Amino acid sequence: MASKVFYRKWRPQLLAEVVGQEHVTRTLLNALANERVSHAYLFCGPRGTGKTSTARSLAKAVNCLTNGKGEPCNSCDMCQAITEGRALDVIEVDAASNTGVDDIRSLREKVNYAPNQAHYKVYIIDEVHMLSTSASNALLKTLEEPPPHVIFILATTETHKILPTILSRCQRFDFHRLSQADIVTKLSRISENEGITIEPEALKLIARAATGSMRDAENLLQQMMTYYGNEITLQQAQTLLGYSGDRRATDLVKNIVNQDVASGVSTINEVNNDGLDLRQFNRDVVESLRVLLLLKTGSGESLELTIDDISELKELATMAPLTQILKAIKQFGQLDLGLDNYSTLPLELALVDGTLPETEEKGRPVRQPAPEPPAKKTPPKAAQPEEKKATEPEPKVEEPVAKKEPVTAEEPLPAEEPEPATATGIDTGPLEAGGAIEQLQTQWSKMINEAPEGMGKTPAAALLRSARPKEINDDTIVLSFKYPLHKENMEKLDNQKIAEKIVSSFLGRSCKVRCVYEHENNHLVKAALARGAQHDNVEES
Amino acid sequence: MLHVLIGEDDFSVRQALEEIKKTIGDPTALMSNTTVFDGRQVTLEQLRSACETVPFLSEKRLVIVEGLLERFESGNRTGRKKPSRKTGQPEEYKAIADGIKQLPEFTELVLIGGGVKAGNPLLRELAATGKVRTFPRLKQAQLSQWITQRVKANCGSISPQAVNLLIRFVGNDLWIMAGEVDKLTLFVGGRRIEEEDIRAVVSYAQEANIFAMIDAVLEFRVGAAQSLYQQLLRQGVTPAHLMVMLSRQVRIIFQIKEMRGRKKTRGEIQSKLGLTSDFVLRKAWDQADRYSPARLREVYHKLLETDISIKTGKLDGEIALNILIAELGQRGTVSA
Repeated sequence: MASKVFYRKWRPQLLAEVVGQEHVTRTLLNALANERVSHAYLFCGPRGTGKTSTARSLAKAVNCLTNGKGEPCNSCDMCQAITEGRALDVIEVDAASNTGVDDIRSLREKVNYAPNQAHYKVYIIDEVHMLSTSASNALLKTLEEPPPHVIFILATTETHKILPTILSRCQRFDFHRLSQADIVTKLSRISENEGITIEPEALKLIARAATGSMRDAENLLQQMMTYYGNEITLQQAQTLLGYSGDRRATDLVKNIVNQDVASGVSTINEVNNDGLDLRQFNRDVVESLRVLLLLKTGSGESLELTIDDISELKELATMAPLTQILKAIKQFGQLDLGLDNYSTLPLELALVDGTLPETEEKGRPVRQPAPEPPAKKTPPKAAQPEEKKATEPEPKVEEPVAKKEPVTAEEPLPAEEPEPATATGIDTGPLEAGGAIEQLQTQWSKMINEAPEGMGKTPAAALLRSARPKEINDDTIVLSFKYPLHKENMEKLDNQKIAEKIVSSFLGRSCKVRCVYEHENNHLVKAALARGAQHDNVEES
Repeated sequence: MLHVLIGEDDFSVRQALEEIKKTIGDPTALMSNTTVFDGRQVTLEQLRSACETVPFLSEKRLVIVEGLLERFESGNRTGRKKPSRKTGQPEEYKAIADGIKQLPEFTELVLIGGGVKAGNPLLRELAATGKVRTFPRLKQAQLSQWITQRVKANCGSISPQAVNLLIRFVGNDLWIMAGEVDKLTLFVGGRRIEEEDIRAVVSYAQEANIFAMIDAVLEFRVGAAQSLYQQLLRQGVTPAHLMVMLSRQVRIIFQIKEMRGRKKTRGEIQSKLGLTSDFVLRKAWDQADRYSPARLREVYHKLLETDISIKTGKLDGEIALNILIAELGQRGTVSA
């Protein structure tokens, strides 16, 4: 029984065996054939795409005793020594643990000695992005003009962390993520040799789960082999990989598209009653929705899907409006099923949220540029009255606000009350400290109603309604909020800006807005209540 | 004999140095007769003793000094701020120049400098004594000529369109260009280099793809943006990287728009933004013409939202970008 893990046992020993990187292997083989091997290479790409394997094969190829101008023979002493990792002249440096400048200096000293047995000394520096800046600079000089018998192969997953000077001195090769087809081919070869019988669909599933990394795929295959033995079915693969593979995920997507909440809820409950993991189920739903989204936006061909997968979803895609798909994908994508594995409530809520509000949403003007969250959180009732023309203020709103601060309600400047909408030039100039705050408090709602063109209906205006001007310090108006949520929303940059504009245009000078949160239970409110003041609930409703 | 090699085109400077080495003689004999100094630290005494040592088992000695000329660069104010005794004193260059003028026959002295101006006092002093060669950064036309020559030297051929594409992707860093050209000729193995070869092999083509995606996003071409996105994912680009690139591009477009409004020249903008790659600048320049500030702002806000939802773990990165692309495109279909 082999004790080596698959990815080491089946590591490619020839350049041609490296799967899915033809653009790299072809160039290298040509270089070998023409004896134009460069002195410094940089291999970059995601994990499990064959960087280290290619580096080792290249090291063998240049030093191979029998050939030397192409693929390594893997049978001569040199090739075998390199494969077994005992060759003196192929030095693998793990840059992640030798990050310092001293490590590179010692490397530089040794570089100048001629190789012991091989033609070339090959330095394979893995994870080269981990080198410190000074270490990189120390390496740079050697990299630029290495002695003729030395080849450097740098490998990394993160190219952007490497100094541009190092980048420019190397011949750079980008390794791509493997396609599912490539992974399946390699896996089926491995399973054949290992005597594993596995359903082709299961292999596809592994390839999908590996997201382009061969090492991940090989590990998964081995895991399955140790767990299930030499015969692996699709269902076993699904269980291990956490795909429910359930048709009902597609059914639910269908229900969402058809806005059929009743069947949707029953689908969810069926799934739950069957004892399926809801988190897995949710993942499947999101994945189907994603495919739907891609199909809808006309980029379905970029997905690696089978034909029967697509046909059904394509049909759905033509039916569903994009907004709805987006809404659903957001709802389900953000779902946190958390620890409570058996509650279907989050799923059901997402379903309802993802389907029903669509009708309400349609009424809302799309041109509204403000970001969604504040708009959503603004209580719809509070926003309603603003829809009316700002020139005829709603008496209902006006009165309670005036009543709002009965303690100070001495109506200091009643003369200004009937002024119409020409708010910008209004003679509120003398509003200075002291009485200004009371004045502002009494005219708060008027100010919002008279907001400059286009601002009256913004979320910021709605938020202003739920605020109370607390004090004026020079150019700053302090707004007090009863709920932390309102305060946070108001503090969002664009809301704050609009609010400042509204206030400034009313006061006729530029003002800043600062937000504070004051819980209702503060002593002033209590005192006011004790003296017979009443709550008015206009803002919170 | 004195050689002065200066210019920003570092690659050609090194090549010239190699040529000098070849004319001197056997490389193994030269190895023990070569001294390399860092011009920022070398003293006149060190230089003199290195130059006047009689070569050992060889006819010539090679002394290379890097960055000596920069010490006397008048515009080099930033270097002067650090009070170091080694920075050039006005009188010092005279002494060095005199020392160099008495160079013995058997010594080849090579002075290498980067951005050295013609007014450099040491350079003026030495201009008559030695051979001065300047290597400025190559312009477009010279660059395409250089590429064709290099391909030819590698026994290959390249189509003119491919040359242009290569220049667009790589820019005028000859180090990178040399690597890419070598790689390309080996990749095609004898046949002519065409545009698709460049797209397949050149590392910087990926970056171009990212820009194509950003373009598609900004231009409401959702389908194209999504398939480019899938393609980039397969090439190993992470969603996080794409997010960064997207916001960077939008930021650059914004900045260019703004600076152009303040009547800055193209060169000023380029240096201000620190864009070394001409490709990035040109792309953003065009985009700045095409997109309204309102559109850019919208994109910016959406980017922020997506970033937050990824970083707070609300959404998986891959799917979040899918949503982002679809949403940005979808608003377009309504408002465009």
